[in-house]
Amino acid sequence: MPNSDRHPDIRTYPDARLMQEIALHNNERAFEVLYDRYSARMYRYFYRLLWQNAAKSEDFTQDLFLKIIEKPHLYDPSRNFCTWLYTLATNMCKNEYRRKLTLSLQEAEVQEQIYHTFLPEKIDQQRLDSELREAIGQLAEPHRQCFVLRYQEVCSVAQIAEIMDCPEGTIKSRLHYALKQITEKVGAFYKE
Amino acid sequence: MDFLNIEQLALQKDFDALLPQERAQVLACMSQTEYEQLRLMLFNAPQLDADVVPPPALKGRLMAQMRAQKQAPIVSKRGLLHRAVPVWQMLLAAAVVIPLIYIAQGAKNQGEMQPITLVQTKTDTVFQEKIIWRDRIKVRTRIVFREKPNQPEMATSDLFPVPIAVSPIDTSEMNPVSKGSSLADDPVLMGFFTK
Repeated sequence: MPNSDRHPDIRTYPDARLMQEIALHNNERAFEVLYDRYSARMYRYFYRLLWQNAAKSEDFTQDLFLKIIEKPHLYDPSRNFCTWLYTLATNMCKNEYRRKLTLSLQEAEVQEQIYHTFLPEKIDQQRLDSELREAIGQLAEPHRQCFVLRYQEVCSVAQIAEIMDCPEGTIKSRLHYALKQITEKVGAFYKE
Repeated sequence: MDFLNIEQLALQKDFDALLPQERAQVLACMSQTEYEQLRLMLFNAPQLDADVVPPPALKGRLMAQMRAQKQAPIVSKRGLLHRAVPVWQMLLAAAVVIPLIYIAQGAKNQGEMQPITLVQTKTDTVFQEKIIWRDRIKVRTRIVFREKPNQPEMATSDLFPVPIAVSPIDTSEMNPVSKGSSLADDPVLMGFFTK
């Protein structure tokens, strides 16, 4: 009898219990539940940190969940699963930053041109989004990660400190700096 | 008021909706324009790219990988050395490996020069100091004189044709009473005991 029939309420299991099912029994249903819970969130996180590159975001999301399939024993049940997942994802992005240091300016120009050419009626909101995206992209890597985790992934300062392995004071300082930089850039658009 | 508190206020209230105390605290850190810019950013940032979702094919690929992982032989997470091995396999492995090691060592030794051990017989003289206790035998010669009556003896000889009265001889000085010997009198013997 398959596991899913014996455990109809597997969707209500906490994350740590699901990981235990995957590690001990290779439970497909448990993995599916975890994927449904976190795939969209992690895909968006990669998309925001990796210069809105959909292909790269898909690859990174796949690699992240493959780690869960192949090495579930890496997860420490004493840690919060969501924080652990974000830590893995952040480290993957750091490695990517080391390989590719700056955003391709040509890609950004083409993207903006598309907005102006094909969606003229939404130009204000999209221009704001574009300005905001550019301002976030121009932040230094640790400040950008802090900003995205705080204001887009809605993580607490304590969680961000654990993900990035930094003191909370450092996280607050980075957030303060990032906010200041972005509001200055967005402020120019607001004044218009 | 730190910026996290201002951030919470900006998410909840417009500048005009702030209480006088809150407004004063905000204005101590930033201008009204900056507060409004912060609100704009805080409301728009989470909406940025919020509608992106992973492609459906990604789930299919990952579930296929999960099934493949399940069907693969179970590999001990503790490593190869902790797997249970049947006894007969261990004996077979030992029966194969030990002769191989022996042969390999033999082949290794063939090419080496073997030292020849020469046996040389030597005669050593051993001097052993041994103390032999010997009984000390002291031979004494005693002259025993028998006391006779005072009647002098008539000695006759060719030299003295006339008998001569011979008085008994006083032998006390000739045969003194033996007092025995003392170690103090014999330093050599003393040496045996004191060394």
